[in-house]
Amino acid sequence: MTDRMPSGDPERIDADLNAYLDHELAAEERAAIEQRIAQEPELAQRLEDLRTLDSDLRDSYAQSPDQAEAAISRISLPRPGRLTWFAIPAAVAAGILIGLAMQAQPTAPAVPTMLGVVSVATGELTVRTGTRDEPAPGGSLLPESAIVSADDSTRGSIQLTDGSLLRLDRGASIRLVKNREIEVIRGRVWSRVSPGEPFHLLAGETSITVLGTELALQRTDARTHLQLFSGRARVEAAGATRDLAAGQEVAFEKGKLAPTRRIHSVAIATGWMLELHAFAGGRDDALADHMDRLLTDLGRTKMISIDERTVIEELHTVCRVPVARYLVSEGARTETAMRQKAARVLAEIADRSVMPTLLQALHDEDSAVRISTAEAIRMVSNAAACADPSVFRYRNEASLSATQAAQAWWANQTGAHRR
Amino acid sequence: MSTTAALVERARRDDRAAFEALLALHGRTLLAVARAGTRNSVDAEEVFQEGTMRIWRSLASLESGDRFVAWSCSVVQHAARDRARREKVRRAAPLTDRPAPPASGPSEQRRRRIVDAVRSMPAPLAEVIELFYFGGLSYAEIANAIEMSVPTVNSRLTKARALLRRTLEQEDPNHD
Repeated sequence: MTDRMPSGDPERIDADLNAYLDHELAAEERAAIEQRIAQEPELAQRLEDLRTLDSDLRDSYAQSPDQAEAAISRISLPRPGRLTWFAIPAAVAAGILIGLAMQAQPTAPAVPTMLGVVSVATGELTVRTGTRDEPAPGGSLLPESAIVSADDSTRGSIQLTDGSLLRLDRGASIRLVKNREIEVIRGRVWSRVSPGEPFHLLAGETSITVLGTELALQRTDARTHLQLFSGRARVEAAGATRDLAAGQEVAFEKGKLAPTRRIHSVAIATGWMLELHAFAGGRDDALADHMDRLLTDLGRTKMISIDERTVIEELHTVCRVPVARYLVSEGARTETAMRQKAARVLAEIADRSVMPTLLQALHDEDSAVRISTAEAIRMVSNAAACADPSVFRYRNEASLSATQAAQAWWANQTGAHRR
Repeated sequence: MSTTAALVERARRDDRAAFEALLALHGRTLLAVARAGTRNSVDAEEVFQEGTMRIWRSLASLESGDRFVAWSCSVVQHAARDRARREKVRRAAPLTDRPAPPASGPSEQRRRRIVDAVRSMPAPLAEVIELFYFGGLSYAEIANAIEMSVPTVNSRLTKARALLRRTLEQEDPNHD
C-alpha cells in the first residue's frame, strides 16, 4: 500500500480517508480531501479499496442482525431482595429499538404486556390505558389495549415489539389491541409490518390481514381507504374480499368495498408522511403511471450499462431523475448493489430536483443506501436538512428523528416556493 | 432530561420495563463491547448477560443517568476481563464457535474470514470495529461509549481496517 502513498503525512491521510468514508469529516476537511482524491488517482484507488473492505464488513455484520435481539431476549433480571426470577421475552426490531413484552412468573405481580414504545413524536402523543389519559412523549411504553392519539399538530412514530413500525399522522388515533393487531380508530396511519405471523388491522367494518408489508390506512366516519406499497394484503368488509398486491389501493365507502385500483404515485400516496404535499396536485393518473415506469426502466438501464463516474460527470443532467426513480422503485428492492450505486450517484450529483425521492430513499433497507442518500440531502441543503449522514446507519430513534427533520426542512422549502 | 437519563431514573426505582427499554436502546452497543472482549459469540453472550446483571444491580452507584452508556460499557468491559482472567484462554485458544454452516459461496467464506479476523485482533481495535459495524455507532458515540477522543476512535478504526486488510490479503492473496 505504501507504493501508492501520496505526499503528506501518511497516517493522517489514512485517517482522513477512513473518516471521509465514514462521513465523519467536517465540510472543510471533506472538501479538502475530495480535492486531493480528484487530483491523485492513487488516493482514489485507496478510497475504492476501503469502500470494498467497508462493504465486506457491512455484509459480514449484516449476517447476524438478530444476535442482539436473541441476547437481550435471554436476559433474566433477578428481583432485588427476592428469589423470584423474571422472564422477559423481549423482541428487538430490525433496527435497534424495541421490545418490551413482559410476562411475569405466576409468583410475580401481573405486569401488562408492553406492545410498543413511542420512538418519535413531533409534539406529545396521548395514551389512554383504562380510563386515564396521559401524555406519551418519546420513550413512553405502550401496553396492550392502549389507545394512542395524536392531536392536530402532532405526528408520531411507534416501534412495536414485533419489529413493525407505525406512524400516526396529525389527528390519528389507534388502539394496540394485542400483538400484531391494531385498530385504527380515526385518521391516517402508515405502517411497515415486519415479516412473520399475519398482522391484522381493523378499521370499523373493514378487516385487513397482511404479512410483511408497507401500507397506509386512512379512516374517516364515511370512508376507510387502504394503500399497499409492498407485499400483499387481504381486505374484508361487508361480506366482500379483495386481495391487494403492491401498488394497489381499495376503499370501503357507503357499505361497499370498491374494486381495487392502482396507486398512481407512491410519492403522492405517502405525501402526508414525507411532507410532499407540494407535489401532489394536478397529475394525470395514466400519464403519471406511465412516466414512473418509463423513468424507472431508464434509470435501471443506466445503472447497469454506464459506469458510475460517467453518469456523474457527463450524464448527470439527463440521469438524475431516472436514477432517482429507479432507486425507490419496487423492482430495485432486490438489487442492493445497484441501489447503492444509484444512491452514490445521487450523492455526487446532489441535485435539488430529486429531493422528494431522496427523502423516500432514507427509508431504504440498506444502510449504505441510506447514508449515501443522506449525504445527497446534506449537499442539497448545505447541511441544513442533514448535518450527519452517519446517523442513518441504523433505523433507530436518531435516524427517524433525522428523517423527520429532513422532511420538515423540505416542506418548509417547498412551502416557501409556493408562496 | 434525555430519554436514557429518564429511563435510568425509572430503572433505579426497580422499574423493570424501564430497564428493558434501556437494553432495547443500548443493548446492541453493550453486546458489541462484549463481542470485542471475547473469542466467540457464546462467550460474548455470557459476558453480555453477566454485564447486564451487574448493571442492573449497581444502577444506584451511577451518579448521572446521562453517563449511562459510558458507565455500562465499562461494566461490560470489566465483565469480559474478569472472564478472560478466570479462564485464561482468551486469545490463546482456537476459535470455538460452532462450525460454520455449509458455505453458500465465496462471499460466505469471505464473511466468515472477516468475522474471525476481527475476533483475532487486539481488543481495542476489535472494539471500535464492533461498535461501528455491529453497534452502528458514530465516531462521537463510540468516543462517548468507551471514553476516548474522536481522533483516537478515527485512528483505531483506521488501524483496525488496515490490519484486517493485511490479514485477508495474507490469507487469500488472490482475492480482489
